[in-house]
Amino acid sequence: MNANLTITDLSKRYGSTVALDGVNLTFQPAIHGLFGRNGAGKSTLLGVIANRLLPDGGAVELDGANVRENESAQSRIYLVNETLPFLLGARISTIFKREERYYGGFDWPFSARMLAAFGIEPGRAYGHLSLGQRMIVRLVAALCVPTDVLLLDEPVLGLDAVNRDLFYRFLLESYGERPRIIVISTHIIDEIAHIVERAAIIDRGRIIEAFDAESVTSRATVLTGESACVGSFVEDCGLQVISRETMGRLAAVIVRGPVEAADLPSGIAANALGLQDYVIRVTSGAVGPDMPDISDHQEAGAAGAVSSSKGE
Amino acid sequence: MDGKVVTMNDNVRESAHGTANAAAGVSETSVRGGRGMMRGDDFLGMSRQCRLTLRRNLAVYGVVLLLGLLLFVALCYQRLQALRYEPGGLSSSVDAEQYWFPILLLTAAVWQWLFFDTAVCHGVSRRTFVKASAIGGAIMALAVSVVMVASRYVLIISGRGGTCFAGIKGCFLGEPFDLPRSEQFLYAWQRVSYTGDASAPTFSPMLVGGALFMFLKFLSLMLSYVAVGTVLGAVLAWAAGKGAWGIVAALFVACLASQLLGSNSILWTNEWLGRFTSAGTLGNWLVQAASGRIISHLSAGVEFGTYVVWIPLVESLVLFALCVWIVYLMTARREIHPARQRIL
Amino acid sequence: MHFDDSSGEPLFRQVADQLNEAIVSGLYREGEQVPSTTEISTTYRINPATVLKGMNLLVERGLLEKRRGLGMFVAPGAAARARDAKRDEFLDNRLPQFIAEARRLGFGPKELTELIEKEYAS
Repeated sequence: MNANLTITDLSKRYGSTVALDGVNLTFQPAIHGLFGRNGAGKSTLLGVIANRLLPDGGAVELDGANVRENESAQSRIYLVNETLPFLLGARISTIFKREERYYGGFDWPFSARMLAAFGIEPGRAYGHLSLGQRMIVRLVAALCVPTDVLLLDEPVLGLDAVNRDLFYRFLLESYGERPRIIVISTHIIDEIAHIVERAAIIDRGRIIEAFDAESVTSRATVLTGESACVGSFVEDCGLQVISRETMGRLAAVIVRGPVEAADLPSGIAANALGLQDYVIRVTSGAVGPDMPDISDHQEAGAAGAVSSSKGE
Repeated sequence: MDGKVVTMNDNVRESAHGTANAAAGVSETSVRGGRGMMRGDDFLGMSRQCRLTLRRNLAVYGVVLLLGLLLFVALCYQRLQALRYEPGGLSSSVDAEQYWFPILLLTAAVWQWLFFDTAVCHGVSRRTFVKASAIGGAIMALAVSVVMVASRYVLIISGRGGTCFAGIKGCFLGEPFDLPRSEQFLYAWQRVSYTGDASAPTFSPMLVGGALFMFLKFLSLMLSYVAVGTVLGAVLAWAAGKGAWGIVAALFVACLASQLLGSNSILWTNEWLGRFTSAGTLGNWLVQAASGRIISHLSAGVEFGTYVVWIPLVESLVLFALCVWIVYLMTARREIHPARQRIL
Repeated sequence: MHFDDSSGEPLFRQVADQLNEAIVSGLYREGEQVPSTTEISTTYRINPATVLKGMNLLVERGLLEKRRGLGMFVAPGAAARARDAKRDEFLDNRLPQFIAEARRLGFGPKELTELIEKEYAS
């Protein structure tokens, strides 16, 4: 059961807004992270894979079959997002029974164990739950249906820190027992940096990078030191600058690729970037991998707060 | 990594075993899907998703049918009570054809509008959703027709509970409910005299296949209600999808208004209708062609004669097919946007 | 176990180092089973593929051995080999770093030796 999800040249427009612009991506059984800013096209991409949105061009294929309007392919794909596809009055156990009928199976013992851990009674009505608890119920259902592709769009939205941690645990447990394609799109990258095996970064409707999450430490390096010193070192080695921040005479320059500690002149310290920092750097403002250099760089931390007019 | 963790994972192994088996079942099913007609997958050309959608659709219609019948019985009871005190009655008997119009229209519309998301979010294709809606709607129309026509027919042939205006052998029974547009198909003709009592028309003897003709006419009405309701639902969904809540509201108001106008037909006076349908006019021809009955204006009165039930039946079938096609076209591009909050 | 992104050390190496450390400290004795990939994965919220990669690194180094259908076990003589590996790492990396840092702060070799001896004695 080695599923293969291939996205070819996928494009999607909302009126004049381009949401997806020629996306090419392949997913194989692994936990994938899909990262990007608000309005970058993450939700649209997942929506198209799950046949909730219809593409304007290109195709999504699961094991060679186009998933659009394809029920046998869609019965192997499960998407969790903000949409509430459950009847509010229904009880949780009723909801799970329905999922079982639609997807041809349900891991009841696992769901019972998860609900107990999250402190939710299976007999309660979905509509009586808080928003965070509703999300938990959707996630529990997602981990218990026997689909080959699991798409989680902002899965931890509304979950407190303890529940988020529990969810990551169950996710890994479920994946460990039954490896399949799991795609997680989230803004809390730090929390899943170690959980994802592959990472894809989407920016303004295009996949700008896809790599092994583990290799992120060698994808970029922060060089800190005296401004002129760092500047000349970067220039001499011909390093590609991703971003540059200065504070008085001190400069922190982020360059592409690894820098060997042995090559460093004294006075410059090199540090690797974590996944979250890396994503922030390559998606914030005008700086992308294709347009490497700018002199004044915005405070990257504000990236998450900026919202886009484009609907995701 | 203590003992607890290990026990926990042992449980997982156990539970995941079940999942793995289930997963194997699914992939088997999807492999079989190509060949079709295998047990557990395609059944009567319906995929699992189609059967589940149809099941939900019928559940919704079933509840509506039950509630609708309960209210209907209550209305009939009220009518009988009224007759006891006021023979002949101030109001007319319960018009079943009119009664079911808003019920079927709104149910079909609500289904088409609001249940689409749940279906598509569970891997049901748009084509299947429309297909299941059409099948479910037809079954509902059939169910309503069987119940109403059967009870009405029993009422007519038993001749109990009301006044029987006897022509020669025909009988017109008005209480406590009737199917005015359908039961005329029981007879070959009906004459209304200009001079005599207009409320006492004369009928031909009951036709041999009269009950069947009555049923077919009633069914054709119910089918068209469902068909129009389905289109209404698709239009509502389209308008709501565009965020045009003004259109949604306007459609609802129009719906209610047409209902009021239909029942208190101030506009549909006989005079107005008579001018439109007087002999020899295009309007008359059109009405005859559409209704399947021929209106002859004799010197002594009007004869509504030789009812051809097949015409309205075919018309309603064509309407039904047309509506399903329109709905399919409208649904084929329908999307579910994640940002929008849903009711269901 | 503790994992650090800014060290520049790939995560699977960190996993391997931590397991190595656990073998050196005697937490897992020779011939004993180490936790499964899934256990480590779920406990520390790390992708199982990464954990496996880290474990395979230790298999290559001869510290762990796979037993089909049973799991991973600490290989005979692993503790000694793990300690040797740690010593090599100390000599190759940490010591030069330590010396460089001391030099930068102006400690002479004699002064440093005295300090080290004093620290040992305490």
